[in-house]
Amino acid sequence: MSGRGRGEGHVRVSLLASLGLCGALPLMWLACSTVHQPALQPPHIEGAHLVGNRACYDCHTNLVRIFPTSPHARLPLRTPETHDAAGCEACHGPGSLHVAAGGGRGRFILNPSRQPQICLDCHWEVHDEFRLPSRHPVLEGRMTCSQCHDPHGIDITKPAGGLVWARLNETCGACHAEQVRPRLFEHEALREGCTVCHVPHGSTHAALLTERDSHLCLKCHAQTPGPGVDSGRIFIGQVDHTERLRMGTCWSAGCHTAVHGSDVHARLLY
Amino acid sequence: MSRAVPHRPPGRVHQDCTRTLRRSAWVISFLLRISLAQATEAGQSSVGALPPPDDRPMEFLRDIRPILERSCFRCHGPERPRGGLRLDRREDLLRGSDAGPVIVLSNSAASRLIHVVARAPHVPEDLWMPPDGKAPPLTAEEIGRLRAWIDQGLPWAEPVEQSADRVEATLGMGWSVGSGPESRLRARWQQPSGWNGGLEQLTWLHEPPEGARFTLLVRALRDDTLLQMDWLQPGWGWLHAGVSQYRVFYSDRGQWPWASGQAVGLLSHEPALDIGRSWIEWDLIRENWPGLRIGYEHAYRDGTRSLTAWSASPDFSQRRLIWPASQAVEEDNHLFRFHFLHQAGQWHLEDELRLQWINVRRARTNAGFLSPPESSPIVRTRATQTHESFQAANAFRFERSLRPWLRATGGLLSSRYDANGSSDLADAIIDVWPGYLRRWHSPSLTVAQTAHAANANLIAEAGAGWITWTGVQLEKTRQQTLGRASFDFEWSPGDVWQLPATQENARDRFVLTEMLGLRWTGLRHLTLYADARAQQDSVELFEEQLGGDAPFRRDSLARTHTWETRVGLECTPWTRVSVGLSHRHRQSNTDFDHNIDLVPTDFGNFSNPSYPAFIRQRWSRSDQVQIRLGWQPSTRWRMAFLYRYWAGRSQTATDPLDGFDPITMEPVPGFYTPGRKILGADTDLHTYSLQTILRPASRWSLQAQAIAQDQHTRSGVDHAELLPAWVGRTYRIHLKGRWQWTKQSELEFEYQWAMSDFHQDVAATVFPIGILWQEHFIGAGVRRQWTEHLSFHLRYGLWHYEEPQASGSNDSLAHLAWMSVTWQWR
Repeated sequence: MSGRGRGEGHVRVSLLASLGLCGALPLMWLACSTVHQPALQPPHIEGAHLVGNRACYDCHTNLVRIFPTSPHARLPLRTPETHDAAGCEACHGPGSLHVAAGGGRGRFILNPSRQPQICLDCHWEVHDEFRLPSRHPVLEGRMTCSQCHDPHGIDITKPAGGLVWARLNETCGACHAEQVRPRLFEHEALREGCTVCHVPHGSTHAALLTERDSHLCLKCHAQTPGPGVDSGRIFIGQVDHTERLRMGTCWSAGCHTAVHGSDVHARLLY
Repeated sequence: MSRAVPHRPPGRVHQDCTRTLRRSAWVISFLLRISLAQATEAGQSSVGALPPPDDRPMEFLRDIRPILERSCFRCHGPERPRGGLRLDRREDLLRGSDAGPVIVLSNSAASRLIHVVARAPHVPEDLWMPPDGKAPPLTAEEIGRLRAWIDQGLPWAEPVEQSADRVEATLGMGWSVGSGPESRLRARWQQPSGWNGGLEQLTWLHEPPEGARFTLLVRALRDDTLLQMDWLQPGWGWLHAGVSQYRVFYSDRGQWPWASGQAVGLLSHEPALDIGRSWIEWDLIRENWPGLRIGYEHAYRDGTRSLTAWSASPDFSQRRLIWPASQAVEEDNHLFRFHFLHQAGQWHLEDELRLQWINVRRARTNAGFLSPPESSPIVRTRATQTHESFQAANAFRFERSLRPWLRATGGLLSSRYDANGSSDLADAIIDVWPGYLRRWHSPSLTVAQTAHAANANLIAEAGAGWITWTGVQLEKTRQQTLGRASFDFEWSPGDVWQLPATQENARDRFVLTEMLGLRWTGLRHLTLYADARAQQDSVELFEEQLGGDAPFRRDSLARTHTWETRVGLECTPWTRVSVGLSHRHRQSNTDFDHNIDLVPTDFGNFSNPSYPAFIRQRWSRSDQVQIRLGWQPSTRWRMAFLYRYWAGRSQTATDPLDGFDPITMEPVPGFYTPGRKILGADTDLHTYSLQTILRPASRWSLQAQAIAQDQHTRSGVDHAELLPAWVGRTYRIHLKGRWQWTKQSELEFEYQWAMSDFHQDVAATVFPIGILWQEHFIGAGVRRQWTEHLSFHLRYGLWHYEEPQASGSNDSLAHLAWMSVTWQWR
């Protein structure tokens, strides 16, 4: 048994978090003496310059109004002269030419919902995940980031596309309706969401799985010691699974194949 | 001239009304004043406050149009001209706005336009143009130019006419050939083997200064087709329509790695799945009308895919032989969508109605029972399923400003889901009679689900850089499912034991979620944020199966409490340095009450102390720390680094489970388990990622990117003879560069290396499912602009893939080439 103290991982995480926050304090102090240009670089539009979020407000009122609650509003991009927040342009590019042209869809403005590369310029680590053997086909041009993510608002302010409408698994269900539909015998894992078992961007394991063997299932399903407890046998649900655990995953050899729930069998055998 | 821009509070509709009234009053007073000034020459005081006109002859394109583009066209251009005033055409400028003329030809001092842009003292401040926040005020020199332009008779010249159409067409051709399994090459590069080609992309933009405009996008390359059109009809809005389809290739060896000593079978066909959709949507945009959007979409999947399961080998003599499983899929999804958006006073209202029909048919051929590596496959199973469903859902949303700094939002969702389906499962003999074959049928299944959810939120921008938001949501779901099944077993050919069953499920779920978020941006270039979410979830579940292979009746209540918090900061402490730190914590605890858990039989009801009745509690926790650094030492060099550490742990608590000593038959307390908290699994995942972009010289561009992931998952079993820990690392390095050889030519190169090592040195009795693979790709290309309209792009790549544990049977070496020729016209 590879022994490791209970919660050691969390202690390590907490230590890292503490160190991070300690490091943040001097950075906060230094922030008082910051200078003009942040390291964040918006996408380039030839001849255009930043105009700030307020310039976007007139035509894109609904989006700009909820934008302050978006995680993207944390981006510290500001116009050079007036220091107005310019978070919209961090993703859509400098807007001066778009404004001068009187607006218009795609006129001197970028649209990350059709150009995932703009998102991936900042989220570059996700770019690597999309190159793994099992992946969503974003780099192939068959999907865009906005099909799953709402870049403008957080869920709570956008029920029509977020918290209420797109409740748990609803985002995945837009394409994978068959996997998340109601069933006679549900798999409880779906109550916690698809990401309990799947990595959304890409995985080295097939079907975007987080793990490839029985560990995926044993995270939740109790393994009890078995008859006489010291026998070395492993029981799951009072059934001896000692030999079956050697067969790979719990579904792969044809046993619990109904991993998303079953319309026939309570133990998801079919 | 620039000055601090005051914060613009919400409540714009009220402001606009007020502004219109004030504008009308001011226009009347202004006209009276100008008339009076002209009559009595008493207006010298206001005219004298204007900057003097420029004394040079004005050239429209050089002196005037840049001012109008920067400061005026945004609101007074062809799109939605404010107040009916357009400044992009001379006749419209002379006609003026809805409130009257703005220009007096050859008399700039009497022209209202000059007074508002000069921000004359007698003009109300909220009528100054351009408004604060839209564009900087005009300088005295610019106003002087405008005055001279009016005084000189408004000389006008149109910019050089550009074609309203831009067309770009790219023809593409591809080629791939190599050693090794062809299906793996197809699956990796998602393109067919050998020669392929077609129309890579056709883009047609039609953008005349006036009238309808559209964008057409066409692609017909390999197995990827797209036809997409976006049409804007002024006064009627957008029409979006299109069809698309692409093919996903799967390996005919399935999605299962294998290790040394194993062999693998091949599917009798090349699995591929066509995924497509067609859509049409009308986005109505009319002045003073609510926003309306009506759309229909049909999405489908059709084909075969390989699965993560294995199947039985048809050759009984070969032990350790695995066989890929596949599934035939037919899915049709029809979606009708109606969206309504309206601004009524302070209320912003949205409603969306969705009607969705889904038909699914799936046929899977997969595993019989198999216990490798010693034993052999027993049966091959074929399972078919059909499912038809209809869902109607309506989501309503509102938003309202309560105070200039406080906004409320909320929503209500109602949904109804009805479905029916059927299933069949049949085992087939591989070689010898396995003892029994399953002949399971479920001819009738009905599902009904209703869901209601409501939420309300407050968002406060309290000033001093503070933004806070809080919300609460209630959700209630009720599901009822009824089924009939027959779990029949064929003990010998023709001798079928029928086990009919009725099945029922009733589930009520209630979820209450609270949320709180804070953000502070009080210091420039620093953002601090924190948010928290708590959720209370209860699921009352009744399940019953009378008859069949394993009758049962359960009534349980699961109560889950979940907490999630996130804190972090984003800042740019120095020029060209950005830092992001965050910590995320999630904890969930579920308590189970098993009110009823028994086995109903003709002889009475027997208690069922086993799974899941003896599960009492499930607990999980995860923490994530992320550090993101960005550094731009110069305009030619940028670096970014990310480190993320994720740790998760889960536990399950059980009741003691008693049993009997198999020899003495004496009851033994805690025979199966003494009852305690048991480790589910714990996971550590480290991710390191580095990116650097360098432009060492004006013609050079280099980019390097690397990522490393280290994962360690162990469960309570953690035993080399049974289930060793799942440990592995994945690395990827990606280098690419460009060199602009001449003004027309550019060379590019690329190198990728990736490796994933999850191999397991397991005991001989354990099926080795870990994988070790690595791949190299080296590529080079050239781009050349032949003429002003014609360019081409040629790329070549060499790809090498190897799986050392598969004894070379899965290794590949492939040559790939792509060529595209692009023609541009405008």
